[in-house]
Amino acid sequence: MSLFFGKELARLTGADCFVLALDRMMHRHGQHGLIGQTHVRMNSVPDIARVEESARGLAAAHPLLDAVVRRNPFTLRAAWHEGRRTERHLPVNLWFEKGACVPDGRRATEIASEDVWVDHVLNQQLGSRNGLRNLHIDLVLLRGGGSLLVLTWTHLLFDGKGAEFLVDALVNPPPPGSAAALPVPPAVPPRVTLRERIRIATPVVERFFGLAADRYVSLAGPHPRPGRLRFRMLTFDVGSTERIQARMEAAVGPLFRIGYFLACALRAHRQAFLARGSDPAHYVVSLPVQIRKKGLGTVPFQNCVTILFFAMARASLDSMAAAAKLAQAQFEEMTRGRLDRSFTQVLELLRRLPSAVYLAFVRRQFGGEITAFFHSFTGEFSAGLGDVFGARVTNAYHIPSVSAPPGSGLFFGLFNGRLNVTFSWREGSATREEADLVLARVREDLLGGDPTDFQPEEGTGCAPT
Amino acid sequence: MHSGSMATANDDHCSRRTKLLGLVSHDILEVGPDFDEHSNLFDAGLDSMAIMQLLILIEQNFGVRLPAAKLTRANFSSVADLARLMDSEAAPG
Repeated sequence: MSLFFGKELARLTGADCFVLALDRMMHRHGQHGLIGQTHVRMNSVPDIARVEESARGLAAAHPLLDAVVRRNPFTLRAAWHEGRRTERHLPVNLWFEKGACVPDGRRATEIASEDVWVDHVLNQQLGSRNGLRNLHIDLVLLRGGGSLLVLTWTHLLFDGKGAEFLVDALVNPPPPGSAAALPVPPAVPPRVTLRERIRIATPVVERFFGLAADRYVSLAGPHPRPGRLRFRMLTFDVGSTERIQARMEAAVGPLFRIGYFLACALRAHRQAFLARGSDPAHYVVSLPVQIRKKGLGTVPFQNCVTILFFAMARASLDSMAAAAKLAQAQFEEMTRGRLDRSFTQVLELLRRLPSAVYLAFVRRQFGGEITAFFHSFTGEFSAGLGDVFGARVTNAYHIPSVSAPPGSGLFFGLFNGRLNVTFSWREGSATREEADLVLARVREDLLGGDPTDFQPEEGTGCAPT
Repeated sequence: MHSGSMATANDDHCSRRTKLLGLVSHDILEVGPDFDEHSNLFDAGLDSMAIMQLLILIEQNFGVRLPAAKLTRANFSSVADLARLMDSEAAPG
């Protein structure tokens, strides 16, 4: 296929192909594809020349950053193929809020505010601005003297953890002349017979049939629709995060955070439905979990996730403790039943399906819905991220895009003892008022007590209309 | 306790720690050459999924089921701590 497409660089995995199907659906319906944005907030301005040099190094070392996904028309196998550009140029686009100081000799574009700029960039087609096809890097100089490093990336390239590896590679470039730090895997699945694959895949397929009996809905409803991506964030300071941890330990013990945050996300979405005058009887929520071996920096350029599907009835959401315990019990049951491995195998079996057929199966099985909402807990952001070329990092988090359906997502992550919560939604799927309700419920469920205890630290991330 | 029994118990404990270290290093985490039974598992990347997978491996390999209610960051923070917890759960009475 290199005759037609350019040299093949890496095959897409089953999980990548799932993302590809979502991405294609989003493109078809005016949603600009499944992207992610990673923010690294700093207390001052980093050495811009070093950021630029590191970005150049990344572009030179990693052709995937400008590659194109193509599906072989004969084998139906999807793969990354080298882009047409012979030289990959990855600039660091420089912006400044009015009142911010621009270093001498630097040209930067003035913006009204960080919020307005982020909203604008999130809703642009990736690759349409100054950058590589699959990654843009921007640096925003803020009027308080701080700065914001923004990486905008396609989810086809990697998941949130992969983006964190890329941030690491950007801020810790290899010494000049040494090999590139980020390996690209061959993405060749292990040799397993078809019979064995079907055997492994069967448990989760049986679960799907069970889940399909309980009709669930998303805020967007089952029909894809265009809409600008919006988001709001909460950042809890270290003291508040410690209180959240203590409440979590009292409910489900100290080790399993995944079920607790899922319970929080469920109750928050229920709040939005209640405001609409409805109270869905069932929720089915997809939760991606990492299948990379944890620990040393491993492969970034893949979606290394499988998905667990949680099913919760309305009655189990009446209290945080009950919801969290049930979520934890399902997590344990699904892990013991190896449903994580089972769904990975399903994704591998579906890998060669054209994207439209892929989603047609999902939508037929679940009446058009994909999940009640998107949700993830990405854990600690890149442990050890302290500074970026002389500027101390004060916070780091992701702003995930969401497709419609489902139209919304609640995402949790930690940075240096602080909990970040992002609510992303599509205009037309939810409203600002519903976003307020969702986040108010999140605050109350996590902190308990007087909601005025919480003092928001970050901007809303929503540009005024 | 008879000294022979104590020696056997210590041997069992040591072999359990060694086997557990092997399981963690090969099946759960991607670790470096400095990783040992006292290395902090959470610093090494242990998360909810990895914890659950480790609990299942412990059941399958040692026949010890660790109740979630007894797990804390302190007794789960290293292979050595985990081995002590397993001993206390496996001990009769």
